[in-house]
Amino acid sequence: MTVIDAETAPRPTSRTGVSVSEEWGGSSLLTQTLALTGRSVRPYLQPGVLIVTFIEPLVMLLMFGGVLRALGDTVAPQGSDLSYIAGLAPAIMIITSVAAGAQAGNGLINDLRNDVITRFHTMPISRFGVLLARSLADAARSLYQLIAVAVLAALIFGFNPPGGILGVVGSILLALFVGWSMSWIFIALAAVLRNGDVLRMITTLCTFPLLFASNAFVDPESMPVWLRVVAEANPISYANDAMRSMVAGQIPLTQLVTTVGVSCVLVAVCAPIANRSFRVL
Amino acid sequence: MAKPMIQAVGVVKSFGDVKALNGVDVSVPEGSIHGLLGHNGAGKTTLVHILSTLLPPTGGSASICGYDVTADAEAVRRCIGLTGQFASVDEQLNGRENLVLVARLLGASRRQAVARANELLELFELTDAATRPVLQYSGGMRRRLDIAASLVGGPRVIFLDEPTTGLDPNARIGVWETIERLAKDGTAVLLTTQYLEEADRLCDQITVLSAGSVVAGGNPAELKAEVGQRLVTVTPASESGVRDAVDALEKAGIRATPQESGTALSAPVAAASDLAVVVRLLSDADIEIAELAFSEPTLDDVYLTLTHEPAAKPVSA
Repeated sequence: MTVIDAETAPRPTSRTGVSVSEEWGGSSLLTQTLALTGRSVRPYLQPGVLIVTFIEPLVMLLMFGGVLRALGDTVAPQGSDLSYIAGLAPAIMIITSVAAGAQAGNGLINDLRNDVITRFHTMPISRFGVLLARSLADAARSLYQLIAVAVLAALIFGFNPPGGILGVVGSILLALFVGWSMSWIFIALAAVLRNGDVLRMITTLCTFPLLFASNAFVDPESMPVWLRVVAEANPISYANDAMRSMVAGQIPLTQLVTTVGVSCVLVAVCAPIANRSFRVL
Repeated sequence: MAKPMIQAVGVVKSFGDVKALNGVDVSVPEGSIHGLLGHNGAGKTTLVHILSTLLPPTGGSASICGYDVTADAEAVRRCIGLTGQFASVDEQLNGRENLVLVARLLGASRRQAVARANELLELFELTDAATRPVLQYSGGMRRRLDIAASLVGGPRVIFLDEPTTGLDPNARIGVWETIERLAKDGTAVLLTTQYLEEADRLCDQITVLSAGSVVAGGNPAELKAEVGQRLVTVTPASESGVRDAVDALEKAGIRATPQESGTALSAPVAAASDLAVVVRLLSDADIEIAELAFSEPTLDDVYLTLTHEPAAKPVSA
């Protein structure tokens, strides 16, 4: 035991010439990110929050599974041997993941109002780590919800696709990655705008069209031309197609590469913007 | 002479058209406590933000432990700790978790972090509350945890914002003692405060800011001497003694004024030693004294006088 001496006084500096933190030597980006993610995840682990977080996908499944179903089988799953739910579950997953990602923006606004972040900005740690931790904390929440979707879909609608567990896991992972990459849009917006009300308005304006101008619920073929163009370019459509294929037991390489590629570009563009704009004052 | 731990030279800060700081100089050597006094909006907080690398200065320069705040911000951050409105703790975590988090971010291993956290918790008497969420802490406990969090890395420079506001008298004294001990151990402390009693007790040097400029600087005694008068208030044993006392003092060249009550008189004097002169004069004149009071000007007097003076009288060039 060499670092801390037995005195109860807080370790000062110039007596020994070296401050305690200099003996510790600083931490790596990985340590910082892990420690900060743990801190950001904490509020999500409260029992009340866990329950509500679980119920959100349940409500969506019931609504879309029940209500939209009544509009007719407009969801066109790949391959006619798939049930309605097999086409719906991936759609719900991608929606869940993107919505969870959008939450990261609000989370950052809250952090900015919280003086804890001010302390972090005066410490010799990476500012980017704080942003990364934010995105990972919301990704963790997203994963919890994605698993909930799979489990609930199986229990309530008898979701048991040809792709089996592997297909479902693959779907979850892809949805997770896409949602995580999209969260950077909102993190960047939050860092630039620094205003919770404006961010919330923009989030709603963005997510709604983003989700519906895709092939998640309706085959783009039946959309008016202008909408179909958007839907076919929409990364969510790519992800959705890939996920439905995996759930059906296929491995859609091109679609996977495209989806992952587009997501990576999104992160590569938004993360630096977020980092540069991230100030507490 | 050792170089100062905190040094601001001609620091200017503008937010658009608004000049928050107008050429401020501050110098704090190690092991000393420096107070910043000023109204809200005088620039104290802006100055601390600049010194702690949260804001860049528009003009002038500042350094902490010899490292420039703009060019060597990372090195500065390794030397400093902040509290209060400048930096805070996470309400969702408990006391120990907050301190462990800071320690781990600074590079401590899990074991080192917990040991350091426990050490500080004990020092600030928060051991019993260590596992309760900070949300449940009283104001005083929260403040103590704030200060503890700023000390985790054993920084050489600490910025304390109103460290004892809202604390009960016992807690205040405890915090004062901790701050004094820190300074004795070599830490340079810069604190902002509204409590002039606190500035008087703790600070080796005080800088008074008003509208972004330094209007006065010096140690508490110097500031009081510069502005205030010392007042001797004499209550003679009998009312008639007031007239006699006034005469006796006037003859010696001390301007005495009877008070409105008619039972006492007061006389301004230049130094504490003049008190003995007054007593001797009165005793020579056979005037019996019932009560004798000697008041030093408070920093209140200093503060009000200096900050209401026109801006044409800044101390810096």
